[in-house]
Amino acid sequence: MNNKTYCDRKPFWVFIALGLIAICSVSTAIFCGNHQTNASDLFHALSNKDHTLAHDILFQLRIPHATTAFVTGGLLALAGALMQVLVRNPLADPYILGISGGAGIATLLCMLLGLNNVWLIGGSWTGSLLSMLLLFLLTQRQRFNHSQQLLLTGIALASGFSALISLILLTSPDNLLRGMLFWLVGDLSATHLPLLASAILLLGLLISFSIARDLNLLVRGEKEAKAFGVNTLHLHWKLYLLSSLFTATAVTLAGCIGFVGLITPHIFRLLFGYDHRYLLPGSVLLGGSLLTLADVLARNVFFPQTIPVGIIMVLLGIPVFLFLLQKSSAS
Amino acid sequence: MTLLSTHHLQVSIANQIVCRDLNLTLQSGEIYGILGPNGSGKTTLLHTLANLHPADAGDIFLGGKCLSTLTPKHIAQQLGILFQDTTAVFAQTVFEFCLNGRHPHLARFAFESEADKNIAAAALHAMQLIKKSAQYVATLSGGERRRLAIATLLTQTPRVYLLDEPMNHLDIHHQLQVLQHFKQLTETARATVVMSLHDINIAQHFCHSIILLFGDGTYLQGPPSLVLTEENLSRLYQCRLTQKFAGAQSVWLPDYAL
Repeated sequence: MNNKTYCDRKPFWVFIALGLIAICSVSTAIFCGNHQTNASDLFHALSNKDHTLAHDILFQLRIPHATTAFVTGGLLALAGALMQVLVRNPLADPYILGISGGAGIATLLCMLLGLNNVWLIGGSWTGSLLSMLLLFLLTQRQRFNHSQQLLLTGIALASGFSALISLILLTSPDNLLRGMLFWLVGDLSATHLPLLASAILLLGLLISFSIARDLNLLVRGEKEAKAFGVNTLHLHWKLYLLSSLFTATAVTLAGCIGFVGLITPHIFRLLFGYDHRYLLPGSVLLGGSLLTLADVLARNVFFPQTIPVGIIMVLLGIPVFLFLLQKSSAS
Repeated sequence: MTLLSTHHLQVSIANQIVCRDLNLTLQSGEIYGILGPNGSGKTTLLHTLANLHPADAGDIFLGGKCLSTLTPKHIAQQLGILFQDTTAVFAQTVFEFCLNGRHPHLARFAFESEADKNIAAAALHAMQLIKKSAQYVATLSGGERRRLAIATLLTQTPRVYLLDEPMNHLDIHHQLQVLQHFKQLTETARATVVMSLHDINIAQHFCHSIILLFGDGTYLQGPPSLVLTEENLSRLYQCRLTQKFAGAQSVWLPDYAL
């Protein structure tokens, strides 16, 4: 019996390809830009320790920028993939379920109080965790159609949070307003390497990978998964904690960026299947690449004017998402 | 050998008592049938036996150990359940769906080995689905999906099989084939099969022991020849049933001309 024919997804080549796409997108983000330096100067500066303009642009602008974009995209895609299993619905992502919104409110309040970066991360995680908890408490009693209820409640919470965000913005002092607004629509203008966020992404991916097979079964339903030996109570807690941590980290890095978390797992699933052992690392690579490329566009299309990457992501994401939706409903 | 037993088990759902003081000892190599009208709690009882629904009172023992002290993984290695419905939210192939049944036997980071794939392929072969292995689950018909769920359960290779209306959506040929397969499992692998049924004739011909759930908390258990009587069945279904003989086999028929 040859089992190869039944489950031949060629994961090896898929990951070679995704790795190449990731490397290409990050290099594009580092070496392409409308600045007064060309790619060869920048490439030269890579190995050169002189503090030339090219060196400064490379290490204080382009590399932090590109890595922040990649890590943020990876975190959001991972959070989206986990949430889609949690609510057993392909329409879930941190933005739609209001988790980004909760993190956004907490971060804006921290900004209003003039708190520093560490507080922003803490505040953001508290915000996303609290909105996750609120979502959980509101839907916990629901025994039938639990996942559908979860999605509807999340959407309701998200609109509530977005109203609160508008309220905070309207009542904020003018000197803070521009920064807040820019951050809120997705802003990747980081000047240092996202070390903490990268560590969270790598460690989180490892933990997510350890529950990947459980996730394959959880999409069938809670009882079904338990019947196959999945400890669904522990799994749900892990999913809540991990997805809110990833969302919060992404939100503190780059504000509220929608659609990466939603479309990345979909693209992966359409191309390579649903197995979460491949889907989770694949989504990180794909989501990172997508956001990095969106960021390249955001910086260069209307140069010298930089557009927040969140706007580009949504503008590009909507047609891609609608196309995928059409395609999947047709088959 | 006793694989699964209950002691003074009381089960209820939504304030309705399914059974009171239920004492069962389910032996290896035997097939048990649960009969009862709609809503009498057959599914709830099976879910309780699989530790998916909490019991009001009493204990369940799996292989001599109290079910509530075992981890889900440990239970799933020895006990598997066929649900009434199967759902596939995300697109996946028949083979992948079936192979997921190996989950309780694999370590946390492990991938399925060639041996695991052979078990899944054999199960799909037994359910005559092997040719559909590369198809998406969503493209299967209702009966094929039912057989896929059974193949997944077979891939899980438990010792106790709890089947919730296994005949749903199946044509007569596949009904007999599935029943024969489980009968064979009880003989060769000394498995225990418990199935809820709506077909009295299947219960009579394939089950060693019958449990009647009357829906008011009372139950009757015993071999088919003792439990399946006109009086009991008429009480169970609230309609007249009579036994007819066709050659060597007997069948139960309702009174169609009411």
